[in-house]
Amino acid sequence: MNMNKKLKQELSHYGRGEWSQDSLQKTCAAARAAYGEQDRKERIGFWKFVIRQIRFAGGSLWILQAAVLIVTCLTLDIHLHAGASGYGPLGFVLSLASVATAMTGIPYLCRSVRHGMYETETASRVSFAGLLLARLLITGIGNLIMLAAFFALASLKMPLSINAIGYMLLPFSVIWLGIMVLMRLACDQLLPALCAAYSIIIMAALFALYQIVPQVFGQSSVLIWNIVCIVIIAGLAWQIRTMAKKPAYMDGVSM
Amino acid sequence: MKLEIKNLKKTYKDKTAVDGVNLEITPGVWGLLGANGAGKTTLMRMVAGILTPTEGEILYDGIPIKEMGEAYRDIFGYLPQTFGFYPEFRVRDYLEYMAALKGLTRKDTARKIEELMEKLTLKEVRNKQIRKLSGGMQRRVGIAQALLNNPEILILDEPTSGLDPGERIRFRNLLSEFAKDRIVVISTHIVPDVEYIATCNILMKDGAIIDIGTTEELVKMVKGKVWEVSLTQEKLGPYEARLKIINVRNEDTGNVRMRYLSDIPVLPGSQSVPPRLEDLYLWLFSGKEEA
Repeated sequence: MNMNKKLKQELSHYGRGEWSQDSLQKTCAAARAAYGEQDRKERIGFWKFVIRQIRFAGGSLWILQAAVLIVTCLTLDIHLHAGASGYGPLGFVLSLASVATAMTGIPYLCRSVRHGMYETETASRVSFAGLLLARLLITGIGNLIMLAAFFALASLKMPLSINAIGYMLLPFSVIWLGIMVLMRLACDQLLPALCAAYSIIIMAALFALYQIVPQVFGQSSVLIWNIVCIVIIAGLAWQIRTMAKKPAYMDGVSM
Repeated sequence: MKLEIKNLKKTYKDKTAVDGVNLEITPGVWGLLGANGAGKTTLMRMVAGILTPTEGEILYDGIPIKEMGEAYRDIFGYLPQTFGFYPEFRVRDYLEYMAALKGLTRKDTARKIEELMEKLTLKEVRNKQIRKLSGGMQRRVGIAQALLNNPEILILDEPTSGLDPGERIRFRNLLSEFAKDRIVVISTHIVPDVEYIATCNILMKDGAIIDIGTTEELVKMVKGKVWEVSLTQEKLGPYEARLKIINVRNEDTGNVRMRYLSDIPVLPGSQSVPPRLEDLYLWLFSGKEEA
């Protein structure tokens, strides 16, 4: 049980029965004196911490994401000019673009273990869980802009309903869910390679699906994509919550 | 202020790294001594709250550190044995990054970094990339980050490795001053670094504590077992493999003066000398057979 819960439980039982006004006043005075003697440390909250993290790697991450955005948009544009049209080809191309988008976060999310910083970061006040959340947010901002740009570009070529966003969000969520699971289970020097390998497998699976069962990317399937996407996003949210609440332990991390 | 370690155990598939450790650590400098593989780093990681014990618990002022969570890490400073950093970081960047992780405000960060750079003589290298610094300088940067949040508990794993003698003396003085109302635990192989400043020493072997005490109390274990003798260079050879030799130094006469450990004087002319902590360390942790 954590300290706050324990304290609430104790306080809920406290004070029942007889108590003396004199003792209460003495306790209050002693508590005020003890508080006054304390070295009051001012600490920043989580959101200020996130903003300060932008300075340390946000710049290089966003440059990488911008580069991938430009290259992928050009590729998308060429592909669409070459005659690919209709939900099927568009859905397929959007799903690949979303995998590329998700992969831009891998170097940033995995850098603590790569550079031997995991132990020092885990022992800090924010701890690795807090740092990871901050990194997910910073990566997520760039990813969302990328996904929005791809969707906007595709919409220029062919009117797309908002449902079509499922073609992007599902593979994107699957990649991120996989990365989160790998971080929990295999947080060592191999982590970036494992995450990259996993992403390439998903990309290959999308190619195979498009070749073998192209109707999976058709307009009639978009509802299924969205339903599965909701389930995956729920799983991803649970993973992130588990990691955020996880004690700052190094078990399973091989240095 | 008290750190209690109760029946702490850490087992892995094939090994017990820490085996039933019980300690009560109060303010002062505590030296944690032991050979490689004794379990020191595992113990320190559990005290740092970053490794789960298999059994047992650690309490700070009576509260399990597991329950304290962030509140414990807020009062904690830690320098791991393996000290990493992001390659693009300059010294100042790294300290600002760590200050943010420790939750310091910008104002406190600036003030504390200036103060620590002064104390650890890092001002001249503040804008240099850490990867381009010497090992000793890098270690000083690591020590600086551990002190950023003015911790009540400071755990340092091999803090002086790579530091030159002058730096080690400055570091010892800094720690002595720092440890007045704080708990400082230093794990080291460099015995002189703790010999003169440790309030108490903890000797660890094969995952267990074998003894605890002040330097004066512990060296009694080897009282009457430390000898010095003068002999010729030629005679030294046969004894090098047989005896636990602490050190050998050349004399003006051309002979060598050998300091060694033994239950009885092995060489004629051997004189019993007062033992030091380093003598005890070698007696307990060196692999050679006794004479």
